[in-house]
Amino acid sequence: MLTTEQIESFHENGFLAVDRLLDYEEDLVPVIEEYQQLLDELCAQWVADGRLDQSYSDLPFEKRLVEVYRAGCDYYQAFDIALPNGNIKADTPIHLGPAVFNLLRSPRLLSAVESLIGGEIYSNPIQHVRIKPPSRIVDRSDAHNALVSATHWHQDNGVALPEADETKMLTCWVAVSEATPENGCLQVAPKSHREGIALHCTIDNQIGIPDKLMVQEQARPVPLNPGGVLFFHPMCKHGSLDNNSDAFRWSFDLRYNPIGQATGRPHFPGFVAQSRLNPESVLADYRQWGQLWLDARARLADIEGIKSNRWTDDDPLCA
Amino acid sequence: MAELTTIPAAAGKLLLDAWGSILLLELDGARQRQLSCATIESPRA
Repeated sequence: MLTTEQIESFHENGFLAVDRLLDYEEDLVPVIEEYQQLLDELCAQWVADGRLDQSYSDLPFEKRLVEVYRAGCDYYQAFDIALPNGNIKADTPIHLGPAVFNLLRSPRLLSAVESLIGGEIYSNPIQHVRIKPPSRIVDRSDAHNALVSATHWHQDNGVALPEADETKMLTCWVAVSEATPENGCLQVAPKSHREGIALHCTIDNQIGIPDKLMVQEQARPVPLNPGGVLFFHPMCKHGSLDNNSDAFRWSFDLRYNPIGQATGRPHFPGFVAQSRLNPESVLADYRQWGQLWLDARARLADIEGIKSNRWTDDDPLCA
Repeated sequence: MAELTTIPAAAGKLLLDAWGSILLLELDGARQRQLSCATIESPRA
């Protein structure tokens, strides 16, 4: 439960950083171990497919990830906890493990979420893991991939469908590794949540706010220790910095909204994470959650033109 | 028609929440209520 001062600060500024909110051992270690196991499985598969010449099983997680990345193996979609916004195939990889599901339902996280949007909490399907390599090793083809490289300034309402404009969506940016200005922590524009929705354009294959519409002096980097969480409003302008360190920077961005409100991704599945009024509606089995995503993947495979935002790039400012 | 709620002045703190709604925040932060309309009693001397 957040303090009165924290709640007031969130509503006033549009964001709130709470350092070490999560318990490292209980909330994050199981997630880290689950990803180590996933990387084991992926490496074995890539070796079997001839995409990787060895499994690098003697290397620690990060060094192994470097080798995998250098070999051209796309670990980031296989690690992600949502389907991509386009080009979904019947076999598009997605990670739906129990530790990640438990993180989505962490009592420490949901208690803070309740302080900001109330006790009827729906897990919004706009969610990602981002394990970003040092910029110096990023391939040119991934230089603007938001799962790998820096993200442009944007508002979360700007990258969702307009159906969510009235939704009390709350983003929770969870630091798994330490996040610093050097390794690409998030930066926010304080009080920008009161400014309305800004024009977004396609910039380097990302949806973002053109630089000419941003006042760079507004930017405030938000460093966090592992287990720290940055909460922000869906109109809060934010982006991430480049990873100029020698290590990976690992975060999750999770979202919640009051039950019954539009998610902004109607084709993707969410679930009831907490309900004071109707506790039996809570989804507590990770296998059911996983099946919802697998059903969505089967339904959406090879369908073209699925809209995930409202923008057309027609505005002259997008030129 | 908007709901009219009368709140004892000592009940908590009213603020405009991040989504533009009026929020009654009880002083320990433990509970909160969203209000559509509110009148606030004047504290008595």
